[in-house]
Amino acid sequence: MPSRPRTPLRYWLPRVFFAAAVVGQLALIHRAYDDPHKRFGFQPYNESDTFRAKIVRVTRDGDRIPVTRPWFGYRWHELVRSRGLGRAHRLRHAGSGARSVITFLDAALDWVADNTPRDDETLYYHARVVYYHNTRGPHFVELESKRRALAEAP
Amino acid sequence: MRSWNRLFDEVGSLRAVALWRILVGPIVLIHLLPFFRAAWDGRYYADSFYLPWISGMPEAPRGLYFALLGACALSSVTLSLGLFTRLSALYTWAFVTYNLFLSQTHFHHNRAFLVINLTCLVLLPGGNLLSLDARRARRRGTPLEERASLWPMYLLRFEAVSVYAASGGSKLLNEDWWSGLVTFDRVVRFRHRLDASIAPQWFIDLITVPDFHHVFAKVAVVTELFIALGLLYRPTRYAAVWVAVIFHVAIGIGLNVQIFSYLAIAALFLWAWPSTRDRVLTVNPARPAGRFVATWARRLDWLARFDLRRDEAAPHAVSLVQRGGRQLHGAEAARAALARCPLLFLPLGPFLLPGLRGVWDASLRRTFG
Repeated sequence: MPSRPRTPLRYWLPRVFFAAAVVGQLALIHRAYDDPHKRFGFQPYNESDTFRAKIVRVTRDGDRIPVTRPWFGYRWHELVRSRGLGRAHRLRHAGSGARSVITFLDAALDWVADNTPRDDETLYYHARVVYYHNTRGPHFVELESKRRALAEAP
Repeated sequence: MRSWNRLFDEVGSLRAVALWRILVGPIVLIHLLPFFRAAWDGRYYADSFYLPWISGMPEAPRGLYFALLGACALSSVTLSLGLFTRLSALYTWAFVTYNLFLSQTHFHHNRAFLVINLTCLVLLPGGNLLSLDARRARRRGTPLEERASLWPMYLLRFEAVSVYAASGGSKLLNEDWWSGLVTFDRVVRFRHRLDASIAPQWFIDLITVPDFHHVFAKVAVVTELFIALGLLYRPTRYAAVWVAVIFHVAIGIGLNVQIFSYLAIAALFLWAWPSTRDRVLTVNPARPAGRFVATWARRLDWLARFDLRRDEAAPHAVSLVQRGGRQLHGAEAARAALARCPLLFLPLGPFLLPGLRGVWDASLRRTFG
């Protein structure tokens, strides 16, 4: 029995919340089959993928310099620490799948492009990703960051 | 429709909710450890690559973020102690959720499950017992209500089942997983860690051959699906909880599941029937076996299932009247009672199986009378 009289809000709110949570959870599980990060879809360890990325910064002169070399006081592994992307030049296991890692790397290239203000020579970042999906591969993906607005060369 | 309404209208004991609340506090602390380590080094999430879930997400400046993080550590402790429980639960939920949604790189399945756990905890008066709040209220002479509508608990049960079903179901539909390719490759990739571990050589040899994974992958999928379905039905619930504990201990040791195993085991408390003192356990204190069961049942009956009575004239050392009225005596009663104490549930659980039940009863019949 209810412990106190119910207003319509007290009656309906839990019911609506409960129903919405159930429907929402089922929708998220269904969506996770297409979501690279499987957010709220609870499908962990569903693949055994490995990847390696050769990441370079392309300067205004057209030079392609690996980000494994520090530039303007920046170090790639200090700028990008999460999801195994800090040492992406080594072949490594993609804990949450290669699709997830590639999506994050794509966003990381843009983030680095936006957050390296001392760098006045890099036009954009480029990554060539090699990955193996459940031992099958190699597959190749090319990623490019947004173009950086550089001041005119002196 | 009637059972749907019953979900919201019926009240039940908050005992299991309180135990779960006590465990969630330390789990939140463990989950915050990587953020504390970063803070200790003076690092803030926005110092390196992060990816907000939604644009326009309000972002706390460095100093404020560190203060909010520290406050969450404090609130998780007060949550566990049951001090200002509603406020502690609300703040802990708010910060953990905010922190998860600050960056998509913070997302892990175990953290998502933690947010779901905390959401349900916020909606329950989990501090009404086994808490400092309850103690203070008793001293004031206004004890807190120990029963409440448990619909958020049922929602968490649904979420827990969803986790096992989604994980097991997706692996069942994944041909590479079902064939054992995924688990085999993962083990091979981490072979160097295995070799450096304390695992015996015969075990390493066993799990690094593909044939083992043909079988192991199917066992893993079936186990997850069994837990999901077994939890839903009362006759199989006890077995499902037992298998789930073993499963979580195993993946906690073998995989980097962060807090998932702790959290999932804590949430298993919520599958206990939400009523207390609904089994009458009568012991004869004149007999050593009766005293033994009385002592341990009193200490370990955390879910308060038993109405413990002492009767020196009782013909048996131990007798138990089950919830449905079924009476058990002697070794059988001791087994049924002790196996329902959370700490003894794991070692004694198998003795509830028909085959092993007889072994226990035969060996202890003389002791328990």
